[in-house]
Amino acid sequence: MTSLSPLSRRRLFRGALAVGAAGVVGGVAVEAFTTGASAQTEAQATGEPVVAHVRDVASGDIDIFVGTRVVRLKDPQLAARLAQAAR
Amino acid sequence: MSSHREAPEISQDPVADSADLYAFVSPDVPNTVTLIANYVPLQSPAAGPNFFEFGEDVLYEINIDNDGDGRPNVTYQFRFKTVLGNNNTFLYNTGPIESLDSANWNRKQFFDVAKVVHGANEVTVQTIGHNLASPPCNIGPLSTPNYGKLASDAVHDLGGGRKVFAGQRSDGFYVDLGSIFDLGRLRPFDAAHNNFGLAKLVNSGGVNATKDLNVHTIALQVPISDLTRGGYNAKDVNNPAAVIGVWTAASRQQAKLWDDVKRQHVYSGPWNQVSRLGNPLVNEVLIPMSRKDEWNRSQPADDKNFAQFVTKPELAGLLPVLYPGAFTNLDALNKAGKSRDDLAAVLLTGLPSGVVNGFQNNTGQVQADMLRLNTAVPPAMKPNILGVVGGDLAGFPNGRRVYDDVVSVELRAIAGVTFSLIDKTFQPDAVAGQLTDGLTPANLDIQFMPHFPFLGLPHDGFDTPAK
Repeated sequence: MTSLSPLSRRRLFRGALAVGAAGVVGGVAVEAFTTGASAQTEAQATGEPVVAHVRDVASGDIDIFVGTRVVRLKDPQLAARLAQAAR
Repeated sequence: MSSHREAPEISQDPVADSADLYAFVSPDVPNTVTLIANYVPLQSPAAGPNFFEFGEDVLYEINIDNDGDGRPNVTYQFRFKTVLGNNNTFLYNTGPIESLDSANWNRKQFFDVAKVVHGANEVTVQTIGHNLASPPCNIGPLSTPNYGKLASDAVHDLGGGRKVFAGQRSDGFYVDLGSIFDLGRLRPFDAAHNNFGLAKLVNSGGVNATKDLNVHTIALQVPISDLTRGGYNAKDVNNPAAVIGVWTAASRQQAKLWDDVKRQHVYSGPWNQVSRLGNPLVNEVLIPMSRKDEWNRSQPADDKNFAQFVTKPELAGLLPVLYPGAFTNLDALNKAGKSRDDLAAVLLTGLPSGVVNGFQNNTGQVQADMLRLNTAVPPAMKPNILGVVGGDLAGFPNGRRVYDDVVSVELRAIAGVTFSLIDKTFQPDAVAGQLTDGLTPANLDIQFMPHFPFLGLPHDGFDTPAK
């Protein structure tokens, strides 16, 4: 992965809140984005699905959804491998 | 249902569809504000076997802006979960439901409430209600024999004078949908309609399309000081800190897919807004169909992008065509190309001081569709359903009470009544001040309550179809 695009502060806090509203909150502040690797670890630990959306194979734009967050990647090689796997 | 099914996408998603929003200083506890957001519109009471409920996969919010930037300073969030008690029956209930923990009630909903405070440098979240019970739907005399008790038991005390309720109520928004969307007909004025060359129409009374229908209501009553800038709770109407802007929104997670192994939907990703509502009828009547979905997904702070549809409303142009000769002054105003800054003030910035004696609910220059409430105005001793237009400063567009006749007020405003407030040389057409769809709260079968949560008990499924 080569870059993460910023999301709005509003989106970030809502991601944090969704967890909170489910019962984990109490004075939670805005969380920073985690990396793709830590997101994967987190999803494996909780059993949550990880959903990838290859937006553009050529440019390598990929969105990875996990929990209430999205990790936005630009990784042409990964996009190409996923596209190859889908054939 | 001033915003029910108002946009193509949300019309396919009723559990996330915001239908009405109310905000008013509570007449039962005047140092509090009552906030009500209705969802899941157009419910037929006879809805078995799967009765209506909130969406577990929806994030419901009521937002409050208290510094005029069109962004929330305080947000109340609501999340629901559904619990099935008996896996071996197709029934919603297997006997009379006489309490909220009845073993006869098979499919219950519970909810959490979180209060979010958006500070200058940080956002804090506090869960203020956890695992609170919603009441069942009103099924009928055998299944829900004492519905009033079930509903009142579902009003939860959150402490500090705060209350919350989330569940089914009767729809209190009276509107003649059948006539209005039949090419702008208003039954009391049908004889003046141009009728498109078809058979001549005759005047008649309005027909309330929602009379027998229910909605799902989220109602919250909190101290005024919980919402205002700096906790302002004094009675100076001219103090800007007395004014709040309110809107509701519903969001869904960005990714949804069908897991064909688990045989269920899975959800992932950030919450994305799919519905919002501030002032009644804005997206429904002012925003063109091609941009309604975009409006639902945008924030009030960005409403300058839609201001052209407020300052030059399509409906103002249609009225002189639909009712030939009745709106000559409005027609001249339209043709002069003047910006409807009166409507922009009412809907996008609030009324500044000096327009209506002893009143303002202005939030500054940022154009944002929010229901603006001046909390320093006390509840009216003798309310007028026409609100500020009717000389009652405690009513719409100073917030909105459950009984306010927002259809008539907005029809009259669009027809030019409020333009004379900013241009004393403009004379509204005589009929403009009389416009109505012919309905009042008397056209409701179930009346409002004088206390929280104010909306009437829901119609029951057994009796309502028999009418």
